[in-house]
Amino acid sequence: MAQPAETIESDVLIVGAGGAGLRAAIASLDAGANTVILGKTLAGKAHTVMAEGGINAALGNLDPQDSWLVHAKDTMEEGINLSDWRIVEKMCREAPQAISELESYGAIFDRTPDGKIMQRPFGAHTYRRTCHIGDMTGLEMMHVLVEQVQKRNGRLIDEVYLTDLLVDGNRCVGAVGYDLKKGKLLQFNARAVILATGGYARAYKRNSNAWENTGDGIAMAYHVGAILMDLEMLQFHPTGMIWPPSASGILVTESVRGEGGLLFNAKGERFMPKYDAKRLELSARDVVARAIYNEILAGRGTEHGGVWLDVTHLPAEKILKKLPRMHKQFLEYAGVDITKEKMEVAPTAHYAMGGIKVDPATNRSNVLGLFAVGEVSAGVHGGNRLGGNSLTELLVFGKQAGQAAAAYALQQSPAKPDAKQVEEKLAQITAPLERREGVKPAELRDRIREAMWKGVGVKRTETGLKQAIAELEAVKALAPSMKVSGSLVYNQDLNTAMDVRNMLVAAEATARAALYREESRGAHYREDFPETNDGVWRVNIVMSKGFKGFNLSVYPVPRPEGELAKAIKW
Amino acid sequence: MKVRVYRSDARQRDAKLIAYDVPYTKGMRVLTALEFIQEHLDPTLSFRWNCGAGQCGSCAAEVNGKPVLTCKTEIREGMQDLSVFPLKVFPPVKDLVVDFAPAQKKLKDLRAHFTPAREKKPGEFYRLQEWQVQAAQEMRKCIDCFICYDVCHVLRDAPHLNFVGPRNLVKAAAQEFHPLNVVNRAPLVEQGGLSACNVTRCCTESCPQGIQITQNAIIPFKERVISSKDPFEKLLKKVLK
Repeated sequence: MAQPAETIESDVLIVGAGGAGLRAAIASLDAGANTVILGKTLAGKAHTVMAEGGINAALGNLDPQDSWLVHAKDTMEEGINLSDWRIVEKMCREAPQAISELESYGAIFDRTPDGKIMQRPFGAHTYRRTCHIGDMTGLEMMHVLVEQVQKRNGRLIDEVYLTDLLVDGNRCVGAVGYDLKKGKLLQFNARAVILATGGYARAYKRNSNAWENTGDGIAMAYHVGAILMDLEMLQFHPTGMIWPPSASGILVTESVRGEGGLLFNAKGERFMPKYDAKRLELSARDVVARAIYNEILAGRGTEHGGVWLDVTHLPAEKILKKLPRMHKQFLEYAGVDITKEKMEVAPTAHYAMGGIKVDPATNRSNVLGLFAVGEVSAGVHGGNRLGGNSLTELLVFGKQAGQAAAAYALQQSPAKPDAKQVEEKLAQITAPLERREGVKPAELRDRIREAMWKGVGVKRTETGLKQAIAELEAVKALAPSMKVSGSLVYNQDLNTAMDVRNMLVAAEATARAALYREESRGAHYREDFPETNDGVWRVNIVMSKGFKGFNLSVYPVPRPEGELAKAIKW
Repeated sequence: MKVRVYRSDARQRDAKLIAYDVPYTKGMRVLTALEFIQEHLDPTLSFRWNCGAGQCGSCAAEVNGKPVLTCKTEIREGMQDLSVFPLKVFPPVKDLVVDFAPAQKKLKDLRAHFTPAREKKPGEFYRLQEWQVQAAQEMRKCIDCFICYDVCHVLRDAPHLNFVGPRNLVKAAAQEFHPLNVVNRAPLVEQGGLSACNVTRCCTESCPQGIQITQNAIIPFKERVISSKDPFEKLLKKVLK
């Protein structure tokens, strides 16, 4: 039987070393907990580095009328009343403090002429509130957060693929996985576990996500009985690159439109006025994504199946200062100079609004000792995410989760996972390596991604969703016969096999929730039910593991109270 | 098209160059070719990548002798011969994957984190001008791809000098040039073998982020080291104190 080569003990185990995991680590370390942080990729290279546009906080540096309340109202409205108002209120109230903390960690934001933090306009925001560092905000955040963890002597182990959580009854007591570089099976005993594993847009054929975003946290949590929420809400970013194929899906940041970029179809018509006459190119992400999708479907798309995004009317210096990464990206990946030529773009799978349901005040899941934060959790973004809110979420709730997990862990007895459970879970890692024959993991992965793109994409129908579910079930039936050659050392094929296991859970949950929600709301658009129906569907779809797959039910969305209640139409 | 890839395990037993036939498509990147090999020809090939968009710096390798980010290096039409090696300056893990831990360890000695004069009050914000922050912001564009290590003569030819390396100097500079920094890292970088660098600018020319490593990180540090030793400046500082 499979045995761990090493057992690593900690008070708090943080799974994921992106912005949320690192911020949680800082809080947990500051609370005096022995903290171990695991990254699926190299330290400092988690998907957060790709966050380009910025981070929202109602500082009012450019628009003094801005306040947490307006920020919260914008967030709730963009989420089409599906967000948890308590989470939203906390995030918007604490956002300025989070920015101030980030500054004290050494982050240097772009400045206003009078030396304050610069804030740019972003889609569907009432005021200019997105703080940024050029278009490399996430990278700067990751730099300073890693530095702060290292300064506190936090133990960050990178390139560890965590595959399963360990439970003792209803309490999470650790996890198992393997070290990619060393090729060793690992066991982690922890009094509390924080999942900060990010999203799962890799389950889509065209996506803007990094290799690691395969829904690992969602799958691990699901297997130990955690409740998932809002899984049908998967954001398609309106603008991803489409040409050449090797660049397909790479994000074209919203700041391009924030700085004045315009959208045109292949006929040269500026089409956004047709879809949102008021907010135009800076409308909500789902509106812009669907508008582009419509133009393409109506035969007004470009040669490669996209539309044009144009900034050539802006001064070249402004483009180079404000959008340096985009300028470089198009030059290097498509041979296009965006100061002179148009960009070819189409929607790309981008962000999971749904995830593990958490307690607003502690980020606790329903499983004892298991916390979740960041993209893997649900509650802030509801039906659609406001650009720039994910980085705010990471900081505010990373801190909260780290503090809460540390406080919980320090009161618990040491974790003693059951050896048999450890063996069973580890055997799932080594099984594909022991098979003489079987299916190729990459083949199954591609089938999942194809099925999701076709059936659970920008526009959905009952027939399409049912087909997607049937295909996912077919893949699920094949998954136990995946075969991988080679050893445990840096075996990417083995990683793919584990990815398939995880993506299947996230993908099926998404498809089933999407089939259940018979209306259109935010990122979820049903061609057969195009209207939003608040009377019936102002509910969160929640799912958990039952005896025969997913148990699905609905909770009414909590009704806003206090100041927010007055600000929001309900 | 033939793509020759270096294959080995950590101990470099049976290290060999294997040639694979990869169909060429227009706009193809080196990373695309590696993915093709892994998916269709040999699933045991190992290489690092993450974002595929030139932003995470995971996928550096030596392509035809030159270290580059494989995700953004286009295979030009008519390129018949392509060889891919790992970054040779680092200990190997497997195939194209290497271990960056030795370089990461050296960074610890440089106090590469923000060191202001005083703790900030909660909710306080700094007032800084754009011109003050530009020097530090340039250094923060670093994506830790370690390509600059691979081209550095000192690291390649004189490992006994224990040079901290260009990327670590960039990291130190990112803190040193923060307008509110109060720590002088000149003695630290001097201990880190700064004098061994003979400013050949190889790191600067290879940087995928276009950071002027030599001009804007290494030379300013060299100047600080020298001026800290200048007897006249020492005297002046004493008098001013």
